[in-house]
This record gives sequence, C-alpha cells and structure tokens, in this order.
Amino acid sequence: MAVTGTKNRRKGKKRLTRKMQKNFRLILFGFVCLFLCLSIRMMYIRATKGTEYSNAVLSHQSYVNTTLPYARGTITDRNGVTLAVSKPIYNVILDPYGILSDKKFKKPTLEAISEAFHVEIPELEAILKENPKSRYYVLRKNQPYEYLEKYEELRKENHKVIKGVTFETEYVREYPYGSLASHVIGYTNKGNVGTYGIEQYYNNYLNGKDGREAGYYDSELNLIKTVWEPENGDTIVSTIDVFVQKIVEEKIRDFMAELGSENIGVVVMNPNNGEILAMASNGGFDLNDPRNMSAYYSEAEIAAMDDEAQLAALNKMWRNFCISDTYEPGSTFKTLTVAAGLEENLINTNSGFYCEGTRGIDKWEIHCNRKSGHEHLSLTESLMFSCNMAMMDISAKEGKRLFRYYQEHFGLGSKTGVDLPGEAAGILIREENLNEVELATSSFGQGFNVTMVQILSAYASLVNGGYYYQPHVVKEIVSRKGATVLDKRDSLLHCTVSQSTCDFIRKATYMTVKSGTATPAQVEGYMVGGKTGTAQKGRREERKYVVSFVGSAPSNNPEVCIYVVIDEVHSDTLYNSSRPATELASKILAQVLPYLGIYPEGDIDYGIDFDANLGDGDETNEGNVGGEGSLGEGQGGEGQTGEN
Amino acid sequence: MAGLTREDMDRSVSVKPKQFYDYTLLFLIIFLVSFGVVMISSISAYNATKYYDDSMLFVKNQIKYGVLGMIAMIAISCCDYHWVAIRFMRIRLVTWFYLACIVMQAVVLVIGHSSNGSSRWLEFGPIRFQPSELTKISVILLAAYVVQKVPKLLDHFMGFVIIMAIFAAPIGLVLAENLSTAIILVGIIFVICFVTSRKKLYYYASIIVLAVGGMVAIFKVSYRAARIDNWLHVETADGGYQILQGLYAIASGGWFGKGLGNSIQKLGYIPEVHTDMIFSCICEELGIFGAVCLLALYAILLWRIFLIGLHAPDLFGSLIVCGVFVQIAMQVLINVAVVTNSMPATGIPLPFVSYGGSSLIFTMMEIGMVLSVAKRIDYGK
Repeated sequence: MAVTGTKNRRKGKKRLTRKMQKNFRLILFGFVCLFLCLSIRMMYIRATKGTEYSNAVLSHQSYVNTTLPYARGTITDRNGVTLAVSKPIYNVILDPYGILSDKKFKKPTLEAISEAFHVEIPELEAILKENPKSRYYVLRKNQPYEYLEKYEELRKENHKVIKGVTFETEYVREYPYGSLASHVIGYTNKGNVGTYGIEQYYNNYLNGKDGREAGYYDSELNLIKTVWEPENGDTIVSTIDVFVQKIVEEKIRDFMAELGSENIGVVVMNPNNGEILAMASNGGFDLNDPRNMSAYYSEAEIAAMDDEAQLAALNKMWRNFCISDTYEPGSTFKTLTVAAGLEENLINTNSGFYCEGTRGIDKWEIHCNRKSGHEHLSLTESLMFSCNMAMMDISAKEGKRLFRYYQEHFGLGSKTGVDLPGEAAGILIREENLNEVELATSSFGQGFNVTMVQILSAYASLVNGGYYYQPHVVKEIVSRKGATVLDKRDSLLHCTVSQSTCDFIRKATYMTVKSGTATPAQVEGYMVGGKTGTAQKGRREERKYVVSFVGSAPSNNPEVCIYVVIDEVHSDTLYNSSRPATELASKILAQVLPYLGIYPEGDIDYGIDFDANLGDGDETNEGNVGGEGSLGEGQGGEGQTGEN
Repeated sequence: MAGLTREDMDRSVSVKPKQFYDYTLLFLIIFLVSFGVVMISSISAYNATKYYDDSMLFVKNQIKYGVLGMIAMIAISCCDYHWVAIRFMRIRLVTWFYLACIVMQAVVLVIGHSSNGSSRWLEFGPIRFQPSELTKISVILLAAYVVQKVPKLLDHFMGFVIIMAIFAAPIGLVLAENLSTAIILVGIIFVICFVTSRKKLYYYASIIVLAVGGMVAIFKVSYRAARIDNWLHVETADGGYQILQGLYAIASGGWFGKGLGNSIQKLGYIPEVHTDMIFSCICEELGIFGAVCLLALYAILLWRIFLIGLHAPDLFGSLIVCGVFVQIAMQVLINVAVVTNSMPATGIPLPFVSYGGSSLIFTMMEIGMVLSVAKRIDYGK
C-alpha cells in the first residue's frame, strides 16, 4: 500500500504525496527553465542576426521600383499653336535571361521582335548569346509608337510564348517651329531644365511630378504593385502670335540681308493689355539644337574658338536683345517729355516754341537736328520734326525733380517685370546729377539707358488712354485637367497720363507719320502714329547711332504698338537715319494689321486741321545731337557715367 | 487499494465544501484566446484577402471556435471528473473513450491515405476535427486513471514499461501521421509516471537512452536526416525556407517590435503564418519584449494549473491536471523552439493563440477538466 497522508487514509482517498509534489515541482521548474532558455535564444537571434535579417526583410519590400516620367507642359501661342511640346519616345528593353529560360520562347519572340522593330534575327541572336544572364538590355532607343503597337498585336496572338520585351517611356522636348521666337520660348537642358525664355521663367509650372511604380513579390512571386501616376506639367498659353512673329522675323531677315546692322530688335504689343504679340531680334537659334552656331559662324571660326570664346558666342546668341540690352532711346523719348509737360500743365496743346538751331547751356553747345533751327513751332510740330530745343524748354520748365519723377512714372530705370528671365533695368541719371545740361539732353532721350520693353510699355500707355500695363508674354497657364492655374489678364499696373494728354499724343504721333519725320512708316489705308528716334551711342566722336521707331495703329484707337530698334545700321548713307527703322515698321504693320483683323480704310477726315506746309520733312537726317560741335565729348562722358 | 467506487464519488459530492471556482485560470484563458484573436486579425488579413477575399475570415472563425470552446470548457468544468470512471456495459467510460480514439486514429490513417494529405482530419457531417487532439485527452484521462490505481507499480522499471505498453497502440497510430503529437503523448505518460514514481534513477537513465536512441534513429533515417540538415543549416538548406523566414521576422522585429499590424513577413513570406508560425510574427510585431511577456503569461498559466494539481482532492484529479499541464507546456515549448530554430521543424500549434478549431476547442476542454478538478478542492483547508 502506498504510504499516503493520514488525512487521505482517513478519507480513504489517495492524494498527491509530498514526494509526488516534489516531482511535480521539479517538472514545473524544468519547463520554466526551458522557457527562459527560449527567451534567451530569441534575444540571441536578435543580437547576432538582427541587422542581417532585418535587411533581408527590407529587401522584400522593394523588388520593383521604376520612375514613371511626367510630360513637361506644352507651350502654345495665343491661338493654341504648339510652340514646344514633350513627346514620348519608347525604348525597347530585352530580357535575354527570360527569353532563354524556356526553349519554346526564343523562336516566336525573336520573330515578333524582328517583325515589329525591324531588327535582323542574327543581331538578336548575337545579343542573346553575348548576354545570356542579363535581364536588362536596351535593344533600341526612341522607337515610334506604331512599332510598339505592332509588337503588342503580335504578342496578343501568341502571348504564351512571346516574352521578355518591355518598354520604357521617355519624353523629348520638341520645338515644331525651330528657331521661331527662340528668345521668348527658350530651350531645355537635360529634358526638364528650362533655360532662357518662358521655359526658364515658368519652369516650375511646366515641370510636373514623376510618378512611381513600386511593388514587391510575395512568396509565390506574384507582383503586388502600386502605381502612383505621374503628374504632367501645365500648359502655357503664350501671348505670342505665331503668324505675327513669323512676319517680324521674316522682315528682320530681309533687312539684315539688305542693309544689316549690329543688332536689331522688334517688339509688337497689344497696347490695351500689355500682351506681346511678337518679340524678335537678329539673334535667335534653333531651339531643337541650341548649341548650333552655324547660322552665325563658319565651321572654321567655331573650331578656332577656345571654350571661353565659344561660351561668349553662345551667350550672345542666346541673349534676348529686346529685354537684356540697354541703349539711349533718343527722340522716341520726346513723347514722354511732352506728355509729362502736359500732365503737369506746364505746357498746353497750344504752346509755342522757338528753335534757334543751337543753344549754349553751361559750357556746352547743343544742336537741334536742323542746325538752322525750326524757328517757330507749335507743340505738335515740335514732335513732328523732333525739335530738341522745344524739349529742352519743356524739361527746363519741369525741373529735375519732376523730370526724374516722370521717368520713373513711365517705368524707366526699373524692370518692367516682363515674364522673361534676364531683363535689364536700364540706367537713369540720378536726380542730384541732373544738372542743366543733363536735364536738357535727357529731354530728348540722350544720357540714360533703357530697354525696348520699357519704352514700348510707356509709349503704349500714352496712346491707350493712360493705362500702364505690365508687358507679358504669357496669357494664361492651364493645368492638364483644364483648370486655369494662372491668369495674366489683369496686368494693369497704374495710370500714367490723362485722356486729354493721350488724345494729343495720338494726334501728334499721327501727324509725325503723316507729314513729320516718320513718313516712311506710313501704311496705305491705315492711320499709323509714331515717333522716330536717332540716338548717338557711346563716345560721340565715334558717330555710332541707334535708330528706332515706336508707333501705333490705328492711331486714333491703337490696337497694335510696334517698336523697332536698330543698332548701327551697316550703311554709309543711312547710318544716322531713322528711315530703316520706319520702313521696317511699315513693312511689318502692312502685313500684321490685316491679319489681326484691322482693315484698311479710304480717305478719312480725322478732324485735325494742321497746316501741311509747316515742315519740310527732313526725316532722313533727323538725329544730330552733338553733331560736330564741342558738345560731343562732353555728352559722351555723360552717357558713360550715367547713373553713377 | 480499491479504485474509485460509486460510494466514494457519492461521498465526495455529499461532503461538498464551499464552492470554489478558479476564476483566475478562467480569466487567463479568456485573455490568451482574445490575444490570439487580435494577433490573428493582424497576421491573417493578407492571406485571407488573397485566398478567400475576406480579410476577417480567420478572425470570425477563430471567434466562433473560441465561443464554442468556452461553452465546452464551462460545461466540462461543471461536470465531475469522476464520471469518466463510471462503468458502461461493464467497461469504464474512460476505456470506451480510449478505444474510440484508437478506432478514429485508425480510420483517419486509412482515409488519409485515400484522400491524399488530409490524414489528420476526420469528418462527421459538418464537424471536422483532428482525432489526435481527442486522443491526447483520452490518453491523459486513462493514464491518470491507471496510474492512480496502481501508483506503486511505477516504483519499478517494468511498471513504467507496462504503462507505456498500454498506450502503444495510439502512440503508434499517431506516430504514423504526426511525430510531434506522438512526442507529446509520450511526454504526457512519461511525466504522469515520473510524478507518481518514488524511484527516479531509471527515469533519468531512460531519458538518456531515449535521447541517444532517438539521435541515432534520426540521423540514420534519411528523410529525418534532411530535416536535421534543414535545422542545422537553416540559412542555406532548401527546406529551411519557412523557419528562416520566421527567424527573419523575429530578428527584424527588434526589442519592441514594429507595432501591431506592421509585420512584413506576414505578407505571404511565412507559410502557416497564422497557425503554427504565429509566434514569429508576434515577435515581429510586438518585439522580443512582447514575446517574452507571452511566455511569462504561459508560465503563469502553468503555475496556476500546477497549484490546482497540488491541491486536487485526490490523486486522480492531480494526475489529470498534471497531464494537461504537460501537454500545454510541451506544446508551447515545442512551438517556440521550432520557431526559434532551437529544434528541427515540426508542426505544433501555440495553445490558445494559433488559429485552428480542433486545437483551440480541445485545449479549452482540457482546461475545463482542470477547472472541474479545481472545483473539488476543499477550499476550507
């Protein structure tokens, strides 16, 4: 009989003896020890293999990770004509390892590739033979979409055995019009980095966001895929009109072939909202090949250049003359001097002036363009014949403070904020340096520097009723989904002059073209208004001239403003004449106006009663500032010191 | 020494002391099952969605099994465990139960051969279960019954051999289909004998003999050798995939885990991740800290069961509790040891936590037996 406890015996029941309890405890203790061992074992695994195994787990997560490129935004002209577009191209990628993984894949796959992409089968076999282990082999780059379609069609018929070809999409920037409006559009580097022009200024809008395709294989090699679609860039609707731009560039080319000059710039603008319809210079480059200088230099010349010279030449080619170069505006500025005088009521439309031909101020002698003098002139005539003496009278009345105020009021001396990179601010003479002589020469546009957009914007505000619009080349930005992201229609900055001043300027500029210094700017059937300019540049004794014409049409209610600036006409007879500029403007306007829906009219009575005999129309040799007089050196000094 | 007679039982009922119900144990079980449901909801969602298009499928099933198991557990806890000693047609119920299990094991072995790979399962209409789970219960009951009848027999080595011989049939049948369950059965009988025996030496000797014999058997038999090879060279062997992925999970979880629901390895990398391999993903999501806490919880559960065993009103009750104790302890031990690659791979679910109806319900029924024993404890003493 088992020796059990007395209590058990009394009850007649067996219970766990002390010995048995001890055994049971031993078992419990044993298991608890084993549990402890396992806990230590886990910690050991963590401590010794933690990093290695964690990495193994991480590697599960990113088996596939491809970037899906976005398409850079399109740039169109104001009518939706594409100026720049990113087109998808397809690269064909082979998976030799996959093709060779099963005997039955090879033949049909190679045949399909050969048929779709026009690759010879021996070439394919050579590739397979040389790269049997490769999983990524770029077979062809830049394949048209039709080839892909063909391949997919073939694969659909026989999808079980045609394997191992994938495609990658890339985008390339294309400029369908080549060099057209190259300075305005700009080009792209490395696909998505805009350089110059709209491409640079609106780079952030044009660029989208890359998409991503990521996935991992689960234990059965099923690809669990997640796709984040790329966000394509916004479409930019430019204010440029391809047709107007084309005409302008064509006329510039004609001019360069006929006469030629150092630089020439033409800007056409809608004065009623600041939209630039065309902006061109004699520079320009092929946007599809922006480093190609063959249009300007021979191969031998290019080969002779060192890196620095080449870079300088490229930068010169890429430089947008119309916004980056400054020059002395000359007589076109006179409209602003007169407008300021009228605004301040220092003169009125009936004011009379007397031109004696040459006037001595301080130690200098300043000449009018006609050295014999215009004698008695009305205010209108002072503009028509571009009289320097009248302007000097007006500026003298204004005084340096007002004069300087109006320069800034018209947007000179600071950037206009045109939406293009590389705009210059120009240089004005500081108010404290604006002494009698400087004030006098400044009144007819000598001694300070401006850019083309500054003068054109200021002039546009004079003839459009006094509204200064910020010049711009982009009309609106539209997202790929069609939402307007940016609207530039509201570009009015401030008012410059009153309606009455505007009316006077309209009439006076019309008369200037009709029978003043700018008669070559006339376009048959149109009322063209405008003002010429002939400015000496640099040192006066060099006798280098910048000739220009700023005009509007129709002059009674302008819808188009044009500004032509020619830097150093290559001609012995016309080097100091504004005729090339006025003629060029006339040729451009003659084609642009009908295109823009402004039609020629017959004889119209404009209600202006001017005596047509007032001037003798010496329009070819208008600019004669300084002339041979002793003023020359002095003026040159002023021009160079400028604002400093 | 007479066995338990009807009079004995009547008396034990009539002198019923203050009612004792082990709510602590009940709470521990509810906690473990709930914890299992939470972990399954995190870990099984991927596979459930992928294969059944219902991310909550396994969770719903497990809750269903949990409720069924709870009902069975409480029902059994209300019964008197002495009822198994009642004679029916001159044979005690415990013996009938034992014989039925042998038959079922045999049937499942035969059907299993014909229906390819599902040899662990038996179907009775809508009910599908693993008879081996039932066999464990019957072996615990019969071993406890036999041993408490003749405890002195165990003082001799031959006694131990006789007892083992009684259970040779079910062990053999289980061994044919599932090595690990057979090991657990041997373990249960061995510990019940060990606890009762007053002589220890031959047990230690037999452990050594068994271990050496086992080693030789394992290394000699080629298919087992492959398993050993997988165990020793888990990183390189072809068959080590499942365990290696489990180790990746344990190691990458770090000390405090990636957080509930953040496991990567559950995404189809670890086969059987919500059943036998659930512990690896618990490590990954809750960290070593969480895993050790879970082991501690099991230790508390075992300690609680141990206390009931110590204070059981009679030897039969003590030995039943001891059997349940060993079964749960061995399952936890083997499961965690396999997952941590501390022993060759074998498929044993983690009690109360792993997904699986048979395992959960039958283990809870065993706890019901323990609670039934606990209820008999004379609380007054």
